[in-house]
Amino acid sequence: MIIGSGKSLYWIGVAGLVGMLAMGGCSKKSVVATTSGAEVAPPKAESGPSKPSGDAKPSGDAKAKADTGPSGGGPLEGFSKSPKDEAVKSLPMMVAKADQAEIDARRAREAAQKQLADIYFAFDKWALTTEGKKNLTQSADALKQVSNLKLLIEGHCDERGSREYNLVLGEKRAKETERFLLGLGIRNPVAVTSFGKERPVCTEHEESCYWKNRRAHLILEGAK
Amino acid sequence: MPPLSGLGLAAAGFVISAAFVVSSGAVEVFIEATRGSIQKIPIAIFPFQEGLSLNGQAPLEVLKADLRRSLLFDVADLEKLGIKAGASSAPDDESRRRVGEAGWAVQVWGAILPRGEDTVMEGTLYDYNRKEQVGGKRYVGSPDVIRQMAHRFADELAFHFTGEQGIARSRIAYVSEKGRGKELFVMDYDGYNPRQVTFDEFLNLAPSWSPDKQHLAFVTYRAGKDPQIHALDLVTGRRRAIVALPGLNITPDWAPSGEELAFTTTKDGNAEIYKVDKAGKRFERLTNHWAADLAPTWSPTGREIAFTSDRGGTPQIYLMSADGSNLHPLTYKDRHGTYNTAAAWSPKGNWIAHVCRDDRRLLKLCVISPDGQQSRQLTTGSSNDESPSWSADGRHVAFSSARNGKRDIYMINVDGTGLERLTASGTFNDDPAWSLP
Repeated sequence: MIIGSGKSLYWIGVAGLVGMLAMGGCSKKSVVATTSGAEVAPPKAESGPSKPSGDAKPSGDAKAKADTGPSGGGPLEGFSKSPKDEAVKSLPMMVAKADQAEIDARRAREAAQKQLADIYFAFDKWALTTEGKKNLTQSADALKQVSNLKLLIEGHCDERGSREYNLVLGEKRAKETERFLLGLGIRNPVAVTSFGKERPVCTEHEESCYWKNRRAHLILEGAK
Repeated sequence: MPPLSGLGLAAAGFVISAAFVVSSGAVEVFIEATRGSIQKIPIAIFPFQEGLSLNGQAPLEVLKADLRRSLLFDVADLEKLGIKAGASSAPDDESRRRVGEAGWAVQVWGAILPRGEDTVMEGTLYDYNRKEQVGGKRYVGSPDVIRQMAHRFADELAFHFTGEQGIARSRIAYVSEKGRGKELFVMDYDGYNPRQVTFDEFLNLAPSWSPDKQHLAFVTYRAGKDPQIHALDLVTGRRRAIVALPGLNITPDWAPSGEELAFTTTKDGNAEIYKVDKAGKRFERLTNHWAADLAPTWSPTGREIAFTSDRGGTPQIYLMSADGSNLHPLTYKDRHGTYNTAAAWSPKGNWIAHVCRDDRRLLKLCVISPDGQQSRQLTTGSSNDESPSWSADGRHVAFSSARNGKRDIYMINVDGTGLERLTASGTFNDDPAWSLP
């Protein structure tokens, strides 16, 4: 592919050395196919000290430079008074293919998770409020879009209940939430748990905090 | 006799009764004629002879604090009687006479001495009325157990005069926040020597001692969303799951026999109380109701269990036999308030402490007799108080409170006096569980 003029052996020699240095410790010798179908000779590295494979330079990058240079033409050959044609091609670039299905799944999970608002409960109560039911109805629509994903419902309480009773109260809240969502026809596998008052989102000793802690929190598996 | 300051309980509305000192062999057994009221034993603790540097440790102060806290003794203020602090030898005849004539017939002195690498603590008990040494103790150990020696000597005195084991050697397990986790700790009953015993970096809750003090049962979220009940062997460091049923497995309470535990599980869909043998093999269901039944606590005989149920609409304390029969309410919404939970049965059997709620919706401690005839609020103030746990002598309750900002462990006498803060580590401390001595 390199059609050099060969005017000066000296320059060719220097160019070859530069090429070898540029390829560094790359020991890969695979044949890289170009889009045009022409072949690029694998770089020869039979001489010179070989660096340890732990070299930080990404091998693909080094290889690209060594094989074709930035303009796809291999090692520089120097100027010539009667230059020959040098083919210049776009850089071959292997990419890590995106798993579109995975991206779609993650986007769907994140989009659905955003729709899953915390729902809040009255003091000492585990019955759903009108507001809570409204929010869960919206959540159910989102959950139906990702019905293969597992849903974990956490029940939480404010600090005005005793520690051990709140564990049970939190589970009652989570289970009321589960029951309502299943009634709306979601088909996600559902698990419930309770943290009582062990994981408050707000720690002031006043109602402005308490209501935020009396909540059911919905988490899709794999989401934050 | 000095003024009977020990009878200050009268102010709290208790019946004053005579107390008898009965001589039974080597042990003078001091009998409480009725519960809740005792006459204190006047005792004089002479300054200890200190034969080595104690690096700020003060066994004399530990001993005096133990004796005061026991509520069994009226400790003399010797400086008022002209006895100087600091001693190089046992008290002379004149000092013993002056203190004895002032009414302090029970006299104690001691010494701390080096013996090689070890430390020796000697204590002598003297009866001024009989003009004779009743006996002595000599403890030998490394210098870092001097507090333990003083605690042990205090319990020997309690045992000599009451036939009871004392509480000075007991320990308190509790939960302390470490980063995002809550870990179990164990400290001496006076708040000294806290040691961390779990390192999960996750939630551990609700410790319960085995009667032999070797094991702690507790709730752990280590396995994921379903909290389990594990037991930690404090001698071997081994840990095993006792209850790992689907759902919440919470509120373990070790039976007085040591052979089984009562606990709560939601595996049946709602909270029910079960028993399980300590191996975690045989389960027995005790409650069966659509409402929540939880937080069992054994009576000291092991024949009854008190627990929380919201079957009446609000959480209240109920009693049942240990096989689940004879279930009946102990607290009532109209008489005891809308919220009564977290029952803890006194090892003496005469009281059940529990969390109640005042009219400001603050959690407080209340006590109620198992027959429901007597009940009252034990703590006051403007913070949430909870997680009551009894001392073995039935005269103190450890609990948690945020009354000084951060949540900490406190103890209070069952008559409402003697509030004492036990932790002050600047973090969240909760869920105390008081061991037997």
